[in-house]
Amino acid sequence: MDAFVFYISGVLSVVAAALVVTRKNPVHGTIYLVLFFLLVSLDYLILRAPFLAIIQVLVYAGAILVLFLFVIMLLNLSEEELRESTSTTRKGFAGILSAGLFGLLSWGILRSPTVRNMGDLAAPVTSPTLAKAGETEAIGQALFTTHALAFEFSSILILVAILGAIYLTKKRKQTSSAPSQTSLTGLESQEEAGQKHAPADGARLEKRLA
Amino acid sequence: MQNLPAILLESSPVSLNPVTSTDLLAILPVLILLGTGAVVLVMDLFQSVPAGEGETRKPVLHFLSILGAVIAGAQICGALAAPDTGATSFFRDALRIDKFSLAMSLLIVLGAAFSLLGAADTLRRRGLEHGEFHALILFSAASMILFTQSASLIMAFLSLETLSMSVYVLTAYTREEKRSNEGALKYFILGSLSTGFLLLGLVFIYGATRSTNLVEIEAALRGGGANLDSPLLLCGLALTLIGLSFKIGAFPFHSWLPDAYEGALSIVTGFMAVTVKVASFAVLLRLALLFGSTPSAGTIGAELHASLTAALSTLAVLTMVFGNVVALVQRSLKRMLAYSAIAHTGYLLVGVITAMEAKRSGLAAGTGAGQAVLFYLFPYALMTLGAFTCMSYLGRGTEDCESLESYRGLGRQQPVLALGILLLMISFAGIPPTAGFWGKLLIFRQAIDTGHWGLALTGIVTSVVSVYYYLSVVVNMYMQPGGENEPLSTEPRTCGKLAILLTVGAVAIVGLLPDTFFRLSMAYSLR
Repeated sequence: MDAFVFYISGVLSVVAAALVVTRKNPVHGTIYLVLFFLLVSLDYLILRAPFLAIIQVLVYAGAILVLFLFVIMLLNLSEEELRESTSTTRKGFAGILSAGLFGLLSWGILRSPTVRNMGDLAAPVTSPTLAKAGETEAIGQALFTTHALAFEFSSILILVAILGAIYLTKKRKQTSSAPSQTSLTGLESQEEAGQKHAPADGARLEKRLA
Repeated sequence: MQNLPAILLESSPVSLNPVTSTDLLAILPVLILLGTGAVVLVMDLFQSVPAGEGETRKPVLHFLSILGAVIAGAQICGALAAPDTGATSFFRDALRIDKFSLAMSLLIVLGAAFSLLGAADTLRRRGLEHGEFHALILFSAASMILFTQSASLIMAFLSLETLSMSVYVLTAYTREEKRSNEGALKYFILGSLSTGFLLLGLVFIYGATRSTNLVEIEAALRGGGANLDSPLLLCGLALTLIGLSFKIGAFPFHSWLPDAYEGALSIVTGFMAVTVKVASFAVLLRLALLFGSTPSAGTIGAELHASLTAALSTLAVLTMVFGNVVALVQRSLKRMLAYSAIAHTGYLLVGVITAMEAKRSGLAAGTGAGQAVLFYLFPYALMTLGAFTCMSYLGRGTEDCESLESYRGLGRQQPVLALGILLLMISFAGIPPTAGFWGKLLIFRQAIDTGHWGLALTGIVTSVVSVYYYLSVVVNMYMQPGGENEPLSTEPRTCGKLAILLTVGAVAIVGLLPDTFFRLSMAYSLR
């Protein structure tokens, strides 16, 4: 049964991932990404990690990607902007790099003795600790004992992220000595920078060298 | 099902206190930095902004944050001066503190303190005196310290992410400048990509060794037996190396670096160039020595050593050649220093390779490995901080004065500033008897000692090339007739003068007394 579910979800997730990168419309791409994350959560269930499966659905498919969808919809891209395509050389370069990464990872996984001697995943688990390892209780134990520092420190990570987001987007009152501090949203400035800022010497030379 | 995560299976006796007071005392400097950051952030809310022109409007912010950094630095100095008891683990092996990580932490705090000291004038001139700046510098310094001290892959990843996040925001700190936004966005996107590589690499290492703890990984390597999966380990190391190469700006992974360095405020550029490099090299050196020089039971040790040496040597040669050659044609001082930072990454990579070799062949049995990297990083940190602090005074209002031609006549207009830049450039170029020279000498000497003739030769040739572009700055300042336009510059105030004086003075002292600092770096090398 496990193998059956795995193969179905595996094939579907590869299809979904391919659709994410090939769709022109970013909204469609994101929806396929949601599908992909849901299918991956099935894999966690097969590996008896129910906590991770739930987190995958709640956090990734639920929260993060819905946020993605909102942002894309708020951007409200026009037809022309959607039709813009990247150059074929760039696509080829990205393709070669991804193929290289894929080759490296599949070499490692196919040669790995651990993976070869894995045995039947569907066999019932005998050890009681192993059977509980993926459950919320075991993860909670590890988080609050062995990984207490990492757990606490992640609050600093979130604090820094919030601080940065607020600082970069907040409107500031105009002060006398400061120049016009118009609040640029990151995306406007990115577009303007791309159009008006001429590539500097180094970038040009790099292109020539490449 | 026998291969389930070992993390979740550790059936260590569960005590009610996962954190003890010894643990907290050990990370006291980190706590001080974090606490100061939080206090500064809140203080900023209660600061009124009087309209008085030319006065530092929020002196309390600068004072408090520098004080925090100095206290944290004093704490670390105290720990460094204490007798050596070897590496001690804290927080259930999440952190491992030894003299090496303390020395690296000291460099990081030094970088933060000097950046805060030099930042006061720039921030005031640009009207950017916000508590966020100080808080972000302090938070990132705290996470860098944890990064250099982390003994668990999870902690390393988390702290690296925190430090990168703060540095992304600091790069974009001048929000209204397009250049700064562009650089920060490139840094953010490429940095996130590199984080992905790094995380995948760490996961593979975990899969191969069944542990996220460096001590346990070392035991698995020594055993070399059934618990080690070499193809997965090689994959993981390759990906981790790619991730770290992005952070240190080694050649094929450097493309974010010139734009981010150019776009950020000069002070921030100095901070990033120093502290991110110090922290990343501390971890890179630790990982390289762990995976490349641990004697193992099977053939895995030799295999890992060979592939790591090959990968790092390729990176080092490409980085040294690329950084120096491209720096030659730069017209802007900031961009030139950015490419020269890439070149210095190349020299430091040579130091990592020789440390690996020395440890493996037993040369480092009594002395420890990596003293060349440490000895190089100390003056490099001071020179970079000094150079970018000086640069932050080249400009008026929000205008910067960056192209090399615009410095003509600076020698007459600002003799003190120009003298500082002169000393730093000579030291960067590695002309004896400056601090930069001794650092390079030690690295190339060790490369020859360990049989890496090619690396030493590339290093020597490229540093000769680098003399040209460093000295062209000096030529422009002193020997070219100034045009009708005087160079834009601002007179440094007390804080800025102090920062420049201290860094330039320290560089000069290291140059004149290399022996003392060499002995110190031997004492604090990685055992």
